[in-house]
Amino acid sequence: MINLSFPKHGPQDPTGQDVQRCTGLGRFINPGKFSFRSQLALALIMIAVLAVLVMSIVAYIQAIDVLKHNFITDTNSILERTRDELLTKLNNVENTLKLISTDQRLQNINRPESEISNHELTKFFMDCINLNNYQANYENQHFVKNLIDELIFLNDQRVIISRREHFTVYGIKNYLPHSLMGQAQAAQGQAVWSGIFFNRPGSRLNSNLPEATLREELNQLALVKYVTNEKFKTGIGYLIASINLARLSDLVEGITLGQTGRVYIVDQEQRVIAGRDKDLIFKPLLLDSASRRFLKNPGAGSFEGIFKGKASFIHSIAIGVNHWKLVGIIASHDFEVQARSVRNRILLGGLIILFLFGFGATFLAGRVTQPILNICDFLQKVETGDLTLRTAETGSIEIEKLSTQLNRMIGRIAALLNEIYQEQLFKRKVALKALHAQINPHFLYNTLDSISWMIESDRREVATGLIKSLATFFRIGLSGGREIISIQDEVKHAESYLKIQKVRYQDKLDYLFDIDESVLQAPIVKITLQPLIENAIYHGIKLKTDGRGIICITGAQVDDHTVRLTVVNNGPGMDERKLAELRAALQEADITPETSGKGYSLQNINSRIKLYFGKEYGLHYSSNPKTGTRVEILLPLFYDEKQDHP
Amino acid sequence: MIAFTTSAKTALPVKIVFTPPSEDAQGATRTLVDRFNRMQSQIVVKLSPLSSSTDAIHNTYVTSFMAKDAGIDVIAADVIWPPEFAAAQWIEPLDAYFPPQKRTQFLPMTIQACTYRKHIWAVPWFTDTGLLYYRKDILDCPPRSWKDLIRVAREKMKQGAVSYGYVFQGNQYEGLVCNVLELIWSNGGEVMEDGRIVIHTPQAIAALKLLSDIVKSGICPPEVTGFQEEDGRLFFQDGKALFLRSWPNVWASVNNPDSKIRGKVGIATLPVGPSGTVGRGCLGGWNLMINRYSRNKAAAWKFIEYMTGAASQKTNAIIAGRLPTRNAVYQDPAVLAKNQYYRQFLPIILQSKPRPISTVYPALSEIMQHNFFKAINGQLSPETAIVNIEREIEATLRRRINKGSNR
Repeated sequence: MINLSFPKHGPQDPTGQDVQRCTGLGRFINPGKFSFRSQLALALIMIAVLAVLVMSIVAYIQAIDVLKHNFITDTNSILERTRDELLTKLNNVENTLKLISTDQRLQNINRPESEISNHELTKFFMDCINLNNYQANYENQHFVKNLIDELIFLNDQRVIISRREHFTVYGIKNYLPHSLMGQAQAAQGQAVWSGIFFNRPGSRLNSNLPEATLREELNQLALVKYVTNEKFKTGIGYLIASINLARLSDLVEGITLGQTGRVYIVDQEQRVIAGRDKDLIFKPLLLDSASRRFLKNPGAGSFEGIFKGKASFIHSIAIGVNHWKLVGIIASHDFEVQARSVRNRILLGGLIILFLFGFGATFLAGRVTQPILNICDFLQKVETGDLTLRTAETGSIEIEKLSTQLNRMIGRIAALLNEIYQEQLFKRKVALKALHAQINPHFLYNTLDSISWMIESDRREVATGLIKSLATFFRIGLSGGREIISIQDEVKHAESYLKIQKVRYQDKLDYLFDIDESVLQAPIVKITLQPLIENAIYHGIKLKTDGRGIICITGAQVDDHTVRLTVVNNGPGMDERKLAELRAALQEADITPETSGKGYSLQNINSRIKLYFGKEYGLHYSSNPKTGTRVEILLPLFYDEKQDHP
Repeated sequence: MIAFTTSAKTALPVKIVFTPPSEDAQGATRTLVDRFNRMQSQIVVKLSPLSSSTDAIHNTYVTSFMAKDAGIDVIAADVIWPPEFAAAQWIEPLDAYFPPQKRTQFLPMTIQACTYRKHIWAVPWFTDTGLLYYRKDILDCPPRSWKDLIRVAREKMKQGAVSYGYVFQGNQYEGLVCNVLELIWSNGGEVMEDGRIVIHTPQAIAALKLLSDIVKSGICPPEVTGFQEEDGRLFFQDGKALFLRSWPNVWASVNNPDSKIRGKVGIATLPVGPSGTVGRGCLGGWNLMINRYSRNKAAAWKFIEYMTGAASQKTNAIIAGRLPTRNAVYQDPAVLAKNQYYRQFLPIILQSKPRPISTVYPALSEIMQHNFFKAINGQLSPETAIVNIEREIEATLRRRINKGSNR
């Protein structure tokens, strides 16, 4: 296991400031910044706010349009229904008169043998009125209503009045305008509708009632039919159905448009003849002049105008009787209140949705970001150096992928770190080994012995030279701890060594350096040449029996990137088997500092060169038993020292 | 926004419907209802007047009850209807609302008219009795007997002081029954006693003949047989008649500023018949009851309590001249100031006679109306009319008994 500690401070951004990491508390307490979860939730909420806002505005505009449209449609529908009802009821009144006028009791009323009493006919009339009864509901009440206020039969001998609420037998003949009686007689049995007239005799019955009530109860409309005997074609009398404005109002007063909107029946002079506002009865509809002009148009129409000084929506349709019109009026304010109510509901709904969405968004954001937070926490633990940790976060395909990649990456980092560690360790060990090799006690003893002997034999210059060479040898061998030095220094090192060995071997040894200047600054792993020269002396020159041994060291550029150094000796050389063994030893992959044996120093040198410069560099031996041995050292021309870890 | 609340303070007012007869000429009913609606906010009363014809109102109620209609809450009913409505279980018994100690504050005969089978079914609203109105500017004193009335009428007509002598309710309807019964009673006759029909007496026949003679005598306008209360009132109010038989409420109308005889009218008890000793008015009046099918009985009772309370009766008496049903109101100075004759005639009012009390009274009335009307129109002799009435009523009562219905 590798247990590495990273620096305690966080990674730095290019400006040198600490980069905020997603630590547990930090993500919430750092002002001006929000956690990923908050940002996600906020983004969702803002989208929702925008959506709700847009939806509210669109819905409000739509609601206004729909309300307007509905008002017109509903009002039109209500007015049409009311008109149909009114026409049906007026028609029923006509039918009622037809029914009564053809009844045998009335047909025979003037015949001497008739025993039909007024009382009986009164009851018949009451039954006929009741046939016109209809139910009306409003304000949670239902009422029995009837368009007919009174049924009256009138001739010279008899007066029959059924209900007697607004009529008395006394004075009845002053009730109807004479012209109307004439019209009815001329109509030959057809019923004739009167215009609206005031029931003056009736006013005496109700004189103390409020003026508005009287106006409504006593302004009358009558359907008059002159009844004739169908057999003898003789006149029988006048049959009158009386309708007052209160009865007309019954038809429309229960209708409410929206909250407070009302329906009125107006005559051709735009006077209200029916409606819930009793103060308006038989008075002009309080419209502005433009609306009045508009209302004069025949047929149905909707417009915005002023009613009772207030802006209002007005819709009207023609009834088809006496140029009357049905007018529906709703105050704009009432309408706006509805629209506002719709808007408020939409907003309330939107807020509730928003509220729920906020909760949902926060929850979802939490769900989505939790694995990321977990990974952050996991990385924080990894950061402390425990590379054995692995994450198993799931939640989404991406998170799973991220987890897998992270695990893989951490595994790879662990492997790489181990590799680097091993490499560094190896470098240290081989460097140490090289150093040990350099400080060979035999070599030191021999050299010091030589120096001593030189001094004793009073060859002080030689001794001084030896000491200088030994000093140079050790100085460069140490090189301030650096592993890579210039070829120039390495050559000096080798030269110092050769100078020392030259004292010992005297004429048996000669050496020659031929280093091209262009390669003097090229890099080399220190203490490369010296072991090779040492090998050349001990396994070459020393064993030479004939003539002088020569070691020739050359250096030159092979190409733009490569330098070749050679160490050649003219010793006995190696046979092919030996050479093959040596080459095989050099090619062994796993050379460890613990490797020992004959080939060790060569392997050590070869490994160090490859370790620092790459596999393409290293030693190459060639030898011939007759001519000697040649070692080629391939090195790079340039080397970036930063690659070399101290 | 929808608000749910059960708080009485914020609850919508209870709406009830009250059906009086047609609007009274003085608007007293409307005044009282408006005042009630103003003085409290829990109940809103909708006034829905029916008709000035008692028979028409009766028909409306019966139709409504048969249909179990809850559309009417407070019913204004003629004094003759409680037994019929109670027996049919169309109205709510009021014993719990209207205990005996409260009933003692009312005139006894009005309570009697609201009681059926020992239960109280209605609260007396205002009472009525038949009175004789006369022109005090023409006559010094009212006639004591019907004979005098005819004589004086003829005399004054002849003098040209008035166009006609006498108007009454001669139309074929309940009003005619009251008029004829008063004549029978004032002539010593009776209609029913202890549930038996006792109308077939010389006194009754003579009384009917008397009215028939009055109509024929020319002292009545020809259209009098079509007259109901308002016809007679307006005829009299226009100064066209010397005498009017009507109810107390006419007093206020004839003394209104628009009346041609304002201040020229006197009131008297009804004249005495040839065989009678005292002129007795027919007990009329209206009671308030609760529709059994009403969904707002408690609110209906509150309104009835208000309408029959002393303050409302006082208003009713002052504005409309309607006779109070509470004893105390007759002593009220403001009431007496407006209706000076109250003090004078309270004993007479107390002597007024109710019509036969029967669950089938409308049928009995129908029989009487029909025959009385024919008699005064000369289509039947008074004797035949009385005999018919006796026979038909007996048959009707027998049918009721056979059906197991008690009177």
